[in-house]
Amino acid sequence: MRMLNRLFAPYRKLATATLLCLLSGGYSALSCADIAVVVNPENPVAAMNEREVKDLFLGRFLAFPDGLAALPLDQPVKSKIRAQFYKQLTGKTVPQINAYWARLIFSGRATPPRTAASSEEIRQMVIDNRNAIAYVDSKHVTPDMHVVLTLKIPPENHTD
Amino acid sequence: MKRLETKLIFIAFFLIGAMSASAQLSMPVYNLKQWDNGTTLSAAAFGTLGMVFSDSKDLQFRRDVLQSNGASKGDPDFKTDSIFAGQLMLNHKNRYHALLQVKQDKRHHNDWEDYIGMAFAGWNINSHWRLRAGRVPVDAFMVSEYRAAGVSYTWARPVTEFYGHILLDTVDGVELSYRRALGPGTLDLRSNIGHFDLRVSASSTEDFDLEVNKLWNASAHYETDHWRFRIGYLEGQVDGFHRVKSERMTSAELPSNIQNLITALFKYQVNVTPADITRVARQYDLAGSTIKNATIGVNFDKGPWSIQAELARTGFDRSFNLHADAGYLSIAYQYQKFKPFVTVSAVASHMETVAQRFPEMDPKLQLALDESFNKEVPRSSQAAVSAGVRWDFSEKWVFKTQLSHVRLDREKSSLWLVQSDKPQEIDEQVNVLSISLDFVL
Repeated sequence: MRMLNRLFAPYRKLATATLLCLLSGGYSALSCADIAVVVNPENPVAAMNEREVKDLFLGRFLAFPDGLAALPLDQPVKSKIRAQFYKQLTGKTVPQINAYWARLIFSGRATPPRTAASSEEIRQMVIDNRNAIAYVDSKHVTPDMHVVLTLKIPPENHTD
Repeated sequence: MKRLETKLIFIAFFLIGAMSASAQLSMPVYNLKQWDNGTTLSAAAFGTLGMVFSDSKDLQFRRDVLQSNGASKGDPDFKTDSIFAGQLMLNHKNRYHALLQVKQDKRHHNDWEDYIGMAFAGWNINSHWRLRAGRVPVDAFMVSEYRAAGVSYTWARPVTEFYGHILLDTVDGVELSYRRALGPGTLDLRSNIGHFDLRVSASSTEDFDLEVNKLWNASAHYETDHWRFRIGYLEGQVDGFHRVKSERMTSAELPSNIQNLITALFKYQVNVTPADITRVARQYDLAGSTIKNATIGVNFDKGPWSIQAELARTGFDRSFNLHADAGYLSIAYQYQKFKPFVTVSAVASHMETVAQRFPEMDPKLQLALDESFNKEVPRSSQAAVSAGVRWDFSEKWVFKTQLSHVRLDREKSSLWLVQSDKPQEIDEQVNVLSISLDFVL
């Protein structure tokens, strides 16, 4: 039995993650796919690199590279895609990101991205607002969104 | 009674916060109103409920020298680390912004103005330049802009040996900053011009009003994914340093500097002329001197590891070249929601002797004045090792506990408030335990 445990140990995490993805609906499905960073189709920005996206979502810069004011949007607080997005983009966990934002908010240097109530609200805000930038599950990208970056989520960054 | 009332107020905040935390978890910014022209009004609040225990009867532990009492053996203090602050933020298309922060903490609050943590209007001139005017935070140290917000750092409070004698976190004036991408990171240059005034508690019975004008500072940050470097310089003109009658001082009591001087003159039986006293007093007086501060800091943050270190020299160009060197190194490791940390820190004050400054003076008078000044001039020399843990048990609530072991020089104990009639016999080692709950609402 101990032998079997040792043999399957490396696969246990992956198996658990897959099982959770299959068993639970909604957000857990999001945790298994890549993440697309999207903007309004009227936004002239064709593509962005990880650093440019990070600069906007960490409040370092307030505008897109071409100077257009940016309105970053966050997924709901407890969503797994949010944790995965920041982990993949910055290498930081949610508590670390919270401490980072507390520094900026309470020194008056920046305000965090606006948090949407649901993925559907994110989609609607991206469609309605030329300045919006958000991240969604790549499977949920619709023709009324323009993808500027795709983040590949390696299995070790799955948050299940 | 007053103490009880304060506790009840804080308990009320605690309960309100606990209810809101369980009801709604989100980033700590609430959009109050949004106008069609792209203007938004939002609000945020933070606070700390803290309790500090000390094992010294002689020395009261305080967070910084702006506090006039603290925790001692058998008398833990609830107010030392407890803070509550709320702020309103107005933003127009990320172009113009304004902020008002109101703060209640354990400092002297002489009038309504002292409750205002920050109040400024800002203009993002373009994506690189930003101008802010009003009561703006001063980027004097790595943690100085947000030292009140416990949720933003790992320790129970900013390292006492380093931040405890630093008076400055905001100035009334302007800030100009410039930011650009540079190589793999971001370069951030900041500069302030302004003035500030506040009340310092020099001892358990005496307070001073300090006024610093023509203050300017310049700092540079360079930040990459895992590293943050900071270097800064600050200078200001001390235009006022007045002893104020403290409520804690009896009317029959002489100011301690006069008492110390008379005692020393009697002890050494020296004849002193008013000219001697005036000459020395001018050197001793902080008013008219220039305060200078140079700092360097580094932060490394990769995966679970966080390391931060700072070094600073703060001093006056007069007052016998009084200056303090301070530094700390802190290492923390994030394990799930827990972040244990260890910090080593030290501060050492230095001052010229009267003999060095006035070599021609009567040696007996030199000794008498040195003895008097050694008792009078606030200095601090101590080293500490602290260990603790931060626990982010929810999105908005953080529990922290920290134990610090401090070794100090009896003659240089100005970070503490001495309670003993025999300062030469006070403790040289003190343990301080802190338990706190930081929150954002």
